[in-house]
Amino acid sequence: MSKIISVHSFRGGTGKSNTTANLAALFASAGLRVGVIDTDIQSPGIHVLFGLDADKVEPSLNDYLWGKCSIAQAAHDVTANLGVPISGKVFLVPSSIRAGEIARVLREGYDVGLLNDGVNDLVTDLNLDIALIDTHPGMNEETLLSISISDALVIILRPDMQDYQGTAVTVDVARKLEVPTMVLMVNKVPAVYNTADVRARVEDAYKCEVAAALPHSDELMALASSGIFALRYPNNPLTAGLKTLVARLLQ
Amino acid sequence: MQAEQGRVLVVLDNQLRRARLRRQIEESGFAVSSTGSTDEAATLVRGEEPDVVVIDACAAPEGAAGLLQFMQREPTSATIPVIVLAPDGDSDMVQRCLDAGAEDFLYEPYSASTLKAQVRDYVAISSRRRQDLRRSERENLLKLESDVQIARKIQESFLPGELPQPAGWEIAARFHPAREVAGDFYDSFQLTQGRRVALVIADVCDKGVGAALFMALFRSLYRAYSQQNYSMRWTSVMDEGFTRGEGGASARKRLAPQTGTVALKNAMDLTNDFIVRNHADANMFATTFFAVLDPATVQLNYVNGGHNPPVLIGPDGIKERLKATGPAPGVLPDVDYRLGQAQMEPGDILFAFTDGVTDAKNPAGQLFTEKRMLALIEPPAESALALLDRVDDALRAHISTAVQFDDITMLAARRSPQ
Repeated sequence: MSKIISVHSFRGGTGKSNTTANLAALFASAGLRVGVIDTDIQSPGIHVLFGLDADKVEPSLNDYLWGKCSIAQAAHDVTANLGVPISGKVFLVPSSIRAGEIARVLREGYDVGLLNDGVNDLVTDLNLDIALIDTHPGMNEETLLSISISDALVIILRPDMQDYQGTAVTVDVARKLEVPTMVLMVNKVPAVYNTADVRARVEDAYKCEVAAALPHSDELMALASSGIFALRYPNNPLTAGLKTLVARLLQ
Repeated sequence: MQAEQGRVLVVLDNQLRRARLRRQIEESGFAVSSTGSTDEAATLVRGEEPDVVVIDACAAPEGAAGLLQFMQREPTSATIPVIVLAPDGDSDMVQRCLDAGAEDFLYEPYSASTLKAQVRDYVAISSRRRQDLRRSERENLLKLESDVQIARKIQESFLPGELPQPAGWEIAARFHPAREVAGDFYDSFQLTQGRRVALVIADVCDKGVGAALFMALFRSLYRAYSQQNYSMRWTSVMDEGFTRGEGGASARKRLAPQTGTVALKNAMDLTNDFIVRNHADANMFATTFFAVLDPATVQLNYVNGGHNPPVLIGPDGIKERLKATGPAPGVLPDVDYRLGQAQMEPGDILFAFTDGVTDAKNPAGQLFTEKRMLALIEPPAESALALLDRVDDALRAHISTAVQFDDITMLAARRSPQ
């Protein structure tokens, strides 16, 4: 049974795309066929983590939306770009980084039903075990759609007052829609905080399971999205936290 | 019939005086009818339409006033000049008659030459009045005819020139406008960069230029709103009332649209709101069936806004009627149209129609009826065109010489057999 997992955060800068890319790599390392779709059309970025240069991003999700290709044709096999032997597969459907393409989407809009049909078609056509949807922060049409079609929702937040308030909104919406599985991930926890305490307090505040509470990592910052952290630093505590999240999502 | 010079009606009790008056008027070259009673006079006014009436004020049984009142009731007789002969000096009697509609009078005893002059003048006036009446009637008819032409032209310009023919499908239509435009229309166009095809059939209430204009408006709004991809459905989730009966799996399904269904909902919901908000006074609505088909798959999504349920026909006969999923657009505010779904297997035909088909009357006034239409479309057809021809031929035979009162519109889409 394939799973659709959405990774979401109410505000930007929480580490969503990095987390999504790392989750994809870890799922694939376990032998699974994974698809990643960057639905953040306004500010795409995850393709960088998978080693796709700006000029190598075609065909993209945008081309699929304009009817120029099928969604499977817009999926790039990036498994080799991960740099280590992987028993599974990672396919990425990137969003175009060309300003003209972004402007066109914003100007003309697109039938959001295409995203719904697209995710389903991708799972079928590429025989995927997992489809990960990377979303634009905040509440918007694409977020709502991804929440509506997902088997699991991961909401990422930093231990920051702005994130706390915003996350309450997303949790509320996801609850109304009765998403089958919903977990929180607290990210970039400062070294001076007690991670266990943070985890307990967040769980209590939202009455929602916190699947992982990850420390802020200078090493990850230094990597600067040039690669997948979990593959580069397999024994780092941060990687251990991500593996806990992976295990939780595979339940 | 009218004598060349004119016809005068004379109404006098006294036989001798009547005969004398008749002679005097005949000497002027006019044809004369005469009677001693106002009752008979009324009949003669109706039947012969004289140019002038000369009547004795005291003619039995009702007097001139009685006949005058009778004549004033009809527009054709109201314009006929009436000359009253009154007893000398009886100005009250004269006043009463003038108030009742008489044009002129003569006191007895009158001079023959004065009488003849008056009759001659009033015959001329009467003839001019008749000509004016005929001219304004002609102008009204021309205006009506021109209105019909205008309405017809508007209607024609808003019907599609060519229907899309996506691969694996055949789309055909038949349209016979009524003598007085009745506001039916059909439409078919591409959506979502050609991945979907819209099929629309609608019936605007009312007739004439008004219906044609609203047909143009509805058709334009449907096209414009269905091209609009922008949607703010996510905001509804933030509404206070969202949880009431709206949550869970059903809400998730509603918020995860298939391709083309946002266009469909936008077309119907927004058009309805526009008409209700901007044209509430006109009380216009249009029953509408709007379907979106995906040429590559079996599935058809549709909204039926109060329209005759289209028929889905399979190889073994009628499979389904696509019933209403909401009210006719233009009536109620804030309608959230439900989407219906149908499966179209290879060889299936979707047949949509308007009232003009089922309500078509034959010269005896009998309706074509839905029952007959259904019996006609049920047997297999080798193409959508063939099916439409079948119904068209039967309709033409049924209507034969009767006047066609309502627009006849039919739209058919057939999925090619594999």
